[in-house]
Amino acid sequence: MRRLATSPDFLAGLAFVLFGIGFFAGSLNYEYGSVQEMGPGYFPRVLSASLLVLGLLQVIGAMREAGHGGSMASRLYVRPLIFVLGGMAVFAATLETFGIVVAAMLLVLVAGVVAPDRRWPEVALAAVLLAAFSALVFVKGLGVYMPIWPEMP
Amino acid sequence: MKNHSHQSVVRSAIRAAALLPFGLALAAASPALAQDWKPTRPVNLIVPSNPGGGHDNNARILASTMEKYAGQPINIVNQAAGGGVVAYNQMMKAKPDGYTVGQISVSVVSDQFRISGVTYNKDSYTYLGQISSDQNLLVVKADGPFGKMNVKEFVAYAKDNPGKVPFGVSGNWTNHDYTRFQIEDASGAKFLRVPQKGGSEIVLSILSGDVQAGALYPSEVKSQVDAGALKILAHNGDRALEGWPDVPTFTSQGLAVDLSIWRALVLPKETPANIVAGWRKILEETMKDPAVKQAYATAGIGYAYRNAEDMEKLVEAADNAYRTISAKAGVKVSN
Amino acid sequence: MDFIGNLALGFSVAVSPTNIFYCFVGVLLGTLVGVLPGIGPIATMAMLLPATYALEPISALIMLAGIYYGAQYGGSTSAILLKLPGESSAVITTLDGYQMAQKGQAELALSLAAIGSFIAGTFGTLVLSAFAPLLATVAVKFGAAEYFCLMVLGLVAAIVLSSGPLLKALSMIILGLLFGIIGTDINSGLERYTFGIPEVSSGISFAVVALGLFGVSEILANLETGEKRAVVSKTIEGLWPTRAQMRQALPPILRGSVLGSLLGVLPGGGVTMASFGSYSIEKKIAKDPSRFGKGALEGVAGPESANNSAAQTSFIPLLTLGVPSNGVMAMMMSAMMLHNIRPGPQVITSTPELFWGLVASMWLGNLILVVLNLPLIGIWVKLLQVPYRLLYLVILLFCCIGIYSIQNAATDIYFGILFAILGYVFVKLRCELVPFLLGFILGPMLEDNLRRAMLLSGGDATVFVTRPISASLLAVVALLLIVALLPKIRRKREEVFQDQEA
Repeated sequence: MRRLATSPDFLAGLAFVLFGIGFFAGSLNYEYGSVQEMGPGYFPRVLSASLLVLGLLQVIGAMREAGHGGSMASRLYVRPLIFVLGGMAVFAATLETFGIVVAAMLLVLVAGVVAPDRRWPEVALAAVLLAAFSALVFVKGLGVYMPIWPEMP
Repeated sequence: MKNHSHQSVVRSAIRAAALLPFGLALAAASPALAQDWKPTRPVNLIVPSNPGGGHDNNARILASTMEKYAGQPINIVNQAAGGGVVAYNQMMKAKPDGYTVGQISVSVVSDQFRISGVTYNKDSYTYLGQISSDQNLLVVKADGPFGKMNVKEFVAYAKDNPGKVPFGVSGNWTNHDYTRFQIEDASGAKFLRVPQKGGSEIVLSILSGDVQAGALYPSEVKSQVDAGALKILAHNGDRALEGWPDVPTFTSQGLAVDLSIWRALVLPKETPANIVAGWRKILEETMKDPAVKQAYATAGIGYAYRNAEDMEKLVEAADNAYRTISAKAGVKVSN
Repeated sequence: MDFIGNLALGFSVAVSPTNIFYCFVGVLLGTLVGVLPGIGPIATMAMLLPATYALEPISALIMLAGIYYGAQYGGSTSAILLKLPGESSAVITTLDGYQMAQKGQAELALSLAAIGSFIAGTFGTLVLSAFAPLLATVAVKFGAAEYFCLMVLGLVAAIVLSSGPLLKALSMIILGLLFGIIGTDINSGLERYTFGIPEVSSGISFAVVALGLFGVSEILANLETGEKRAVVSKTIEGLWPTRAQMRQALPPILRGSVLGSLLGVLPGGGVTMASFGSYSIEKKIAKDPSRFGKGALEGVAGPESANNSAAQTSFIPLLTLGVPSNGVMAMMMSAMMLHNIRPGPQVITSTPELFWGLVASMWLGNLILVVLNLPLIGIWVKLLQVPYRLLYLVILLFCCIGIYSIQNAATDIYFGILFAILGYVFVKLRCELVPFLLGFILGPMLEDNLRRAMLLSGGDATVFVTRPISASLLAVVALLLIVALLPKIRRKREEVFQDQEA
C-alpha cells in the first residue's frame, strides 16, 4: 500500500481524476447545448469526462502493477517551494504600492533564503544591484509600466 | 492607480537617432498661456485593448499629434484584461492629477447590461471630448451569392430563409452583434449568428465562404473592398461613408439600424477643473490639426469630434439606446 | 524574370546604409528583449512605434520587422540556456536545447539554432517573394472545418513527440485543453472557470503558463539538491558544429524550412504548429527516437528552422490580404497605417519598393542575426558561469517582471506561482509538460473551430470528410496515429510480458 501511495503513475492518475471531477463539476454550470449548437458546457464536459476515465484507467493500472515493483515518485522539497514561491508572492503583493525597487529587493531576500551555499552579504548585494538593474533596464529602458519608488501619500 | 509615467530611454534614443539627419528637435510646444494647465511630465493614456487593432491605432494616431499640443510624451498603456473592464476600472480610480487619461468606447455604457460586477457607467468619468466615430458595415463577398444584391434584397432573402444565412459577428453582444440584432429586428430576417474572435477572422471567414455576411468596421475591410473581393451593402452611420459615398445607410433603406459607435477621452471624475479645462483645450487643438484627419483617413478611422458638452449628450443618448435594445434583445448579465 | 527583378528592386531599397542601420537596430533590440522572459516583441514594437514617425516608412517597417524575428531568435536563446520559453514557438526548443546545454553543448545548440534559422530564413524569403499571392489563396481556403482538423493534427503530433506512456500524454493534453478553456467563451459571452477574477476573463496568457510551468519549476528542481549546481556544466564542445554534426543537422533544417514556410501562412497558430510539427517529424523518422528529449541536435535544428521560416511567411496574410494573423502582425499593420500605407492586395502593385524592400530586408535581417549572434553566443554562455546561487535569483526576478508586464497585472504573478507548483509536481509524477502546453495553446482554437464547423454544417459531422483539405488532414492524422501508436502498444505489451515473466 505504501508503494502504491508513492507510485507516480498512481498519483498522476489520481490527479487526473481530481482535475476531471473539478472541471466536470464546473461545467455543469454551463449550458450543454446540442451537437449543432454546442453550448459553453459541451466541450469542457466531454473533455473532463474523458480525463476522468483516463485517470481512472491509470489508477487501476498502477494498482495492478503495484504488486510487482513499479517506480517511486521522488520526494517533494518543501523549503524551495515555500521560499521561491513566497518570494514571488511578496513581489506581487508589494509591486504596485511600493514600487519595483522595494519589491525586487524583497523577492531576492525571501527567495535567497534557500540559495545553495548561501552567503547573506552576497544576497543583500544582489538584492540592491538587481533592484537598480530592474528599475533602469525594464522600467526606464524598456518602458515596462510599473512604479519605481513607493507611492507617496 | 499609480502615476508612474516615464519616457522609455530606448524609445527616446531611437527617436533622437531618427531626427538626427534632419537636424531638428521634436517640435517644441507653443508657449503655454499662464492660465492654461499643461502636463509637465509624461502622460499615460490607458487603452482598453492590446497593441494593434482599431482602438490601439486610434490612440497611437491621436497621441502622436497630441504630444505636440500637450508638450509632453504620451505613453500608450495597453490594458486589455477583462475585455476592457480592468482598463475602465483603472480610469475610474486613477489619481485625478491629469497624468492618466483614458480612452473609452461605447462599451463603457453597454457593458453594464451584459457583464456582472461592472460598476462603471455613463456617470463615472469626466469627458474631454469625442475622438472618433465608427460604423458597422454589412459586408458580403463580392463574387458570392449576395454580391449582386442590394441590402433590401439581401434581408428579404434572409427573411425567406431563416437561419440559413451565416452571419459573422465578433463576440457576444458587442456592437457588431447589436447591429446584427437591429438588422433582424428591423427587417424580420433571421440569420445564423456565428460569433468569432475579431474582425480579421470574420474577413477570412467571408473570403473562405464559411460565413456569407458580417458586421465589420471600415478599417477592417477597406483593403479587401478596394480590391473588389468584398462588398459593403449598407452601413449604420448617419452620413456618407468616407471613401465610399455610394454605400447607403440602413435608415435610408427603411431599416432602423442606427446604434452609434464612438470613442472618447476621459479623466477620472474628481479631476480639478483647471486640469480638465487644460486637457479639453489640448484635445480640441489636436482634433483640429489636419494631420489627425489625414492619419484617420489612412487608417480607416472615422473622424468625428464633439466637445465635452456635446459628448455628454452623446453618452446620455447611447446609454438610453443600449438600455432599450438590450431589454428588447433579452441580453442577460452573465457572470 | 519578375521574381529576380523584384528581389533586385527590394535589395536596392534594403541595402541603403540607413535601412541597414535600422535593420540592425531592430534585430539587436529584438534579440535582447527576446532573451528576457515575458517581454515579447509586441510590447517592444508598440513602445518604439512613436519613435518611428520621423523615419521613412520602409525604414520603420524594416526595424519593426527586425524586432519580431530578432525576438524569435532571442527567445530560443533563453529556451536553450535557461529553459525559459518566452514564445509559444520556443517551447519545443526547451526539450532538446536545454538538454544539450546541460550536456555542455550550449554553444553548439545556439549556433545550430542560428545557422538553421538563417537557412530557413533564406528559404522563407524566397517563398515569400515567389509564392506570396499563391499562398494567400491557400490561407483563404481554410474554413472552420479545415482549422479543426489542423488542430487535431497538432494534438496527434503532441502524442508522437511525447516519450512517456500514451495514457499519460493523452491526459496531459486534455488537461491542457481544459486549462485553455478558462476565460470568456466567444460564443456565449459566458466566463468559464474564472471565479470572477477580471484578469483571467480573457484567458490566462501563454507566457504566464510557460514561465511558471517551465522556468520557475526548473528553479525549484535545481534548488533541491542544496549544493552548487552549475546550470551549464563546462562547455565541452565549441561553437562550430563539426562536419558530421552539420550533416546530421542539415536535413532537419531543410525539412523544417519547408514545413514552416507552409504552416506559417495560416493565420492562428501556424508558427507554433510549425515548430511542433517539425519536432514530431524528426522524432518519427529518426533511426533512434529515444535520443530525443535527451539532447538530440535534430530536435533543435528542425524546430528552430521551422519557426523561423514560418515567421517569415506569416507576413503573407498581412501583406497580401490586409488581414493580420496575430498580435505581431496587428502591430505591423498599425505601423503601416501610421505611415499612410494600407496593407492589402494593392500593396505589391501600388508600392512595390516597399513590399519588396521589406521582403529583402528580412533576408538581410537574418544575415545580420547570424553575424550578430555567433559572437553573442559566447557572451550568453559566459553569463551562465554566474554561480547558480545568484543566477536563480536573477531568473526568478526577470520571470516575475515579465509575467507582470504582459497585462500590467499582479494577479498574473499569482497564477505563475500556481503553474510553477503544477509543473513541479507533474515532473515528480513523470508527466510531460509539453503535451499540456500544446493542449493549452490549441484548446481555444480547437473548440472554437469545432463549434463553428458544427454550427455551419447544421450538426453534420461528415463535413470534416467531405471537404478535400480537411479530409486530407484527417488522413494524415490517421496515418500518424497508426505510426505513432503501434510501437507504443507493442512496447507496452512487451513490458507486460516481461513483468509476467519476472
